[in-house]
Amino acid sequence: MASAADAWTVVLGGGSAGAVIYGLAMIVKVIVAWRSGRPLVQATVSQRLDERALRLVERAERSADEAQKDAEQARQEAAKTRSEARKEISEAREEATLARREASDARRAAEDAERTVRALKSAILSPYATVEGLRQMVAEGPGNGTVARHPTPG
Amino acid sequence: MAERGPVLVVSGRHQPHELFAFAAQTLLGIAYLVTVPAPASVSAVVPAWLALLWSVGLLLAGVTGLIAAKLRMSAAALTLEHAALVISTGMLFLIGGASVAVNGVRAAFGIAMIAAWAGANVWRIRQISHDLKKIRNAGG
Repeated sequence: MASAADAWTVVLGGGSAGAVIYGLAMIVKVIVAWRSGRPLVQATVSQRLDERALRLVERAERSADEAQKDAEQARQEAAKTRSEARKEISEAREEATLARREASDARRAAEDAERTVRALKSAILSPYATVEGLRQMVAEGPGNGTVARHPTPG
Repeated sequence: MAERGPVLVVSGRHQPHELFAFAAQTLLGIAYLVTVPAPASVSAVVPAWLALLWSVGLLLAGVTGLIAAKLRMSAAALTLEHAALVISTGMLFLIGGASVAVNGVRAAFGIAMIAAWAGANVWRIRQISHDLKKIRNAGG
């Protein structure tokens, strides 16, 4: 019985103690490398790769941010330009409408004036024209052409 | 001939099973060292100093594994994880062997779980060894 227990002790103890010793040796190796300030060659390579990858990622993120910012600015400027253009087009349309209306009024006024002048000419030539009738014609326009024609005096 | 170029380490270091196992080992190591008596099967087949070594080993493996998981990815972190897994496997070998010796097939479930745990540790140890070799080759 004692020999069986001894055998288990040897097998299990050997295995577990060996594992502890091996693991401790590795831990000590890492600690010594860390304390001496001389990183393991493997660590140096690995960290360098890590840092390079991180730098690349950071650079890519920065570029993406800048591109997004530029795109946003361009979009804002385009929207502003579009808005200003719309406003100018609207103003130009209003001005054109006003100008058209003024031209129409002016044409109508010119036609009235022309008609008045024609009526005055014919009224002046009439032997029955009176000064008052002519004044009224100038003030009110030719009307239907009968305003200047006053009845014959007497 | 040293292998140049990027080194791709595909095996993750933060597997939940592994982290929980390290945490459990830390807690169990403290418990067995401070208050809880060693498992009956261990006490039955190995001397007291070996049972004490088992408790210390549990604690050492758990703490080292958790520290390795906390460190950023580097050969040092992988080496520490490797060490923690080796110690852990040794402690599992002890408790599993003691359980087989004392309980036999009656403890089949417990023994199978311990064996599975130890097997996963060995698998991960092989992965880490492979990764460390790749890193070493890349370093020249």
